[in-house]
Amino acid sequence: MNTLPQDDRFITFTLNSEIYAIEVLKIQEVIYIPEITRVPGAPSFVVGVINLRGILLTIVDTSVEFGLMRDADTEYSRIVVVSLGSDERIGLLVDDVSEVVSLKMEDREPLPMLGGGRLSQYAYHIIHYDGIPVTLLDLERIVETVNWNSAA
Amino acid sequence: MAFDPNSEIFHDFLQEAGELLEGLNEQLVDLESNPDDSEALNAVFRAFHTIKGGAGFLELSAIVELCHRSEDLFGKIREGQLQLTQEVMDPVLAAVDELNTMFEALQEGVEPASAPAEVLQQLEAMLHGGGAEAAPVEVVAEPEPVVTETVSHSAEDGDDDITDDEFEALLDQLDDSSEGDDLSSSAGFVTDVLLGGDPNDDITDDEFDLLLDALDGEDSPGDVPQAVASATPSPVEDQVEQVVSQQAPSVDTAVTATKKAAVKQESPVVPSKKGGHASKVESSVRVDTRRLDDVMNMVGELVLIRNRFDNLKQSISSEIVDRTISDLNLLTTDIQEVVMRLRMQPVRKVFSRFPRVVRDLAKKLGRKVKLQLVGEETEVDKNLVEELADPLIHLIRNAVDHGIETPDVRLAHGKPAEGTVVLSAEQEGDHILLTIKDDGAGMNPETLRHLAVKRGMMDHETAMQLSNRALFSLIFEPGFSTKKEISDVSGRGVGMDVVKTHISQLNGQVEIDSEVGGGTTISIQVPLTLAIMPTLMVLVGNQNYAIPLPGIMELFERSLVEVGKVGGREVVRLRDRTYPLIYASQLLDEPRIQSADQRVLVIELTGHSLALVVDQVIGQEEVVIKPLGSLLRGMPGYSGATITGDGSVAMILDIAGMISKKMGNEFLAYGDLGEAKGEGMAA
Repeated sequence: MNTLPQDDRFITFTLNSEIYAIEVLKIQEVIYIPEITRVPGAPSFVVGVINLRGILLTIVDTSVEFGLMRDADTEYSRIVVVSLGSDERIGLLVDDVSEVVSLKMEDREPLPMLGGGRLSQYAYHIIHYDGIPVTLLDLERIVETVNWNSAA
Repeated sequence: MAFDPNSEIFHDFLQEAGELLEGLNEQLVDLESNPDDSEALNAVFRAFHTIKGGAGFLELSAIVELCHRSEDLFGKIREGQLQLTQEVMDPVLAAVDELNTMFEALQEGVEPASAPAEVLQQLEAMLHGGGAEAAPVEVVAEPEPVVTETVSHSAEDGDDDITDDEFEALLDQLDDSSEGDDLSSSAGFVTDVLLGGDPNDDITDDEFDLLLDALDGEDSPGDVPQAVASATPSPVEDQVEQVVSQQAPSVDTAVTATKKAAVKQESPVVPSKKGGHASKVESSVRVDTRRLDDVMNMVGELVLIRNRFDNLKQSISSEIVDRTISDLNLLTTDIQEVVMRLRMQPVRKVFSRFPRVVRDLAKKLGRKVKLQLVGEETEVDKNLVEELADPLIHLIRNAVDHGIETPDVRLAHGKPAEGTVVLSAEQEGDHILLTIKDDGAGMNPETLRHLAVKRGMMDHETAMQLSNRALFSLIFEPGFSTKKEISDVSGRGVGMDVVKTHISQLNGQVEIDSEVGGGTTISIQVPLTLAIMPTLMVLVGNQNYAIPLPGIMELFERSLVEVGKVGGREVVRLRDRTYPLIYASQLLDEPRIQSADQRVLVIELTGHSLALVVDQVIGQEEVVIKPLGSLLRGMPGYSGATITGDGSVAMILDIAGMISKKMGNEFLAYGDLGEAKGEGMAA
């Protein structure tokens, strides 16, 4: 969050026609969308669960959290497997994975104040790349949005 | 020092309470912005309660004190006697910060000192409404030497539970040795307390050390452990007794001394002497449990592949393939069994802490209670042993606190003055059966019926229809407590619902039976292992779900079941019992369909009996429970997920949890109509 990323390389992808970026080091892999098992009763941004080589991976669609509706899956849609530190991973549904870019951290700006959605919980900065605003996503806090164990 | 940082219990406590504490900060902040969230409120209340319980067991009085007050405060808020304003929240958050500091100390192996007086005072002030009336300064927390007088003052304020308790503990010790031990009649009990390799014993010993040091004014860390281990009065104890009687004309002197020592003494604990167990060559090896977990996981994978082969068998029809697959089947089952055995531990590991619990509690409450342990050798999965500890402690405390009557009451009813609590474990097929049976007062179904109406859980009509069994199960519902006064042992109506939630998450079931004057029996059924579970795979909508097999009693074709209506709800009558008809599609947000493949499952769970309609039954499958990511872990309604034979993911349903979540008390009020009013029902 406050610490500068170690590596300045980012993977960019499209979500609702906007460009987002996540540090390369946090991306484990990018996969095609397999059959997703829905989990009725889960938070609305949880699309479901998949079997990633014997491990259960929770798939999230962050557009819901950002107050947007995601477009239907296309042939370019992918799941970006993001590592959230200690053994924890989630799959992020994206519309299109674009490229790996080097972003100059000195150029980043704080996230402009935006109404609606909860983007500000998952992103702290934007950066302009080729004149286009790119939102730097930090999904670590997504896990904090739910707390099932409070009852136990 | 009154605790042993090397003991297993201590580590368990650190871990469990640590997690709760972590959650507390966030929950509190959430609660502040959303003060009407009763769920969050309950969660906070329980968190303090649980931490307090654990700390009380380890005699970490500073933590108990802090949690006790916070819990009281939230108890008041829960009952609507106090508004959750920022004014209230500030001291609570301060208390949580203080708890965090105490935990940091604990992790270093240092017993935490009492919380700063202001923190306690502020909590107290909130508790008594209005911050104006300043409580007297909590002298105990002052680092300077304490004058006896001041302590006796604060002792009159009524907020000195801890000092009293501590003193009581001391008196107990003396009683035991000098009066020839009134508990010695129950031989098993005494041996367990005194001779068991239980780390608890160290706690008392250390306490002795502390006391001795304090009274003698010398710093000899003497090796007392053996002294207590003998049932006869030992010189050390005599000495204590002497010193106490000489030096303590008033209780306060001794207490002050102890306290002073507690404040001063900051050096780490004297490592307790461990018996020489490495003397002979053993035929066993110690293995890191993580390695066992790894092996277990891999066996899980193997089972999945086996399942996949089973699926494939249908498409490849060749005798040799069939035979090879069935060989693989046998072998896999064997490996699974062996690995499961590796992880088994006798339940004694949990049971061993109970005699102490019962003893202390009985003394505190002025009861005479004998605890009988049966089947301590029964083995269950290591993880399960740990998971069972909390629910069992709770149930046992409950049996002593609510079940067993005081000696004079018992005598008046023609019972022996000493009550008996029997805790037994036995293996029954693929599950383990634990029972806690007391010969106490029992529960009166009519009282429960009355209370259920009074608490607004259901209307009079519904209450009248409930069977005794359904009435007893009510005590597992949140906020339902049959005891009026609040003790710090149990009886706040928190706990029994926690027990039920806990057991249900282990895919277990709780049942309760009671007889007025005859006592209460609570039985818990849990699977032997948490890793592999027999399930029934069903189709709902277009997805497969696994339903744990224990609990499913019968299976009917949908078309053969006649549906009646009661109060606008569908019911079915099967084998002379009437069940509410619940559609799995409704629980799982799927459209309701009609199809010839539909089946009705009769499910019996704690407090719930129901007929569940599923769209299709696929078959029985042993599933390997896979951990869910933290976004979904612990989500109510599911006990986990698994990977099926075809490689897809199936969620494992926790029917009881799903129903409580979806329907809550509405269902409860409606459940189990069968026994009471079955006869007149349309079927």
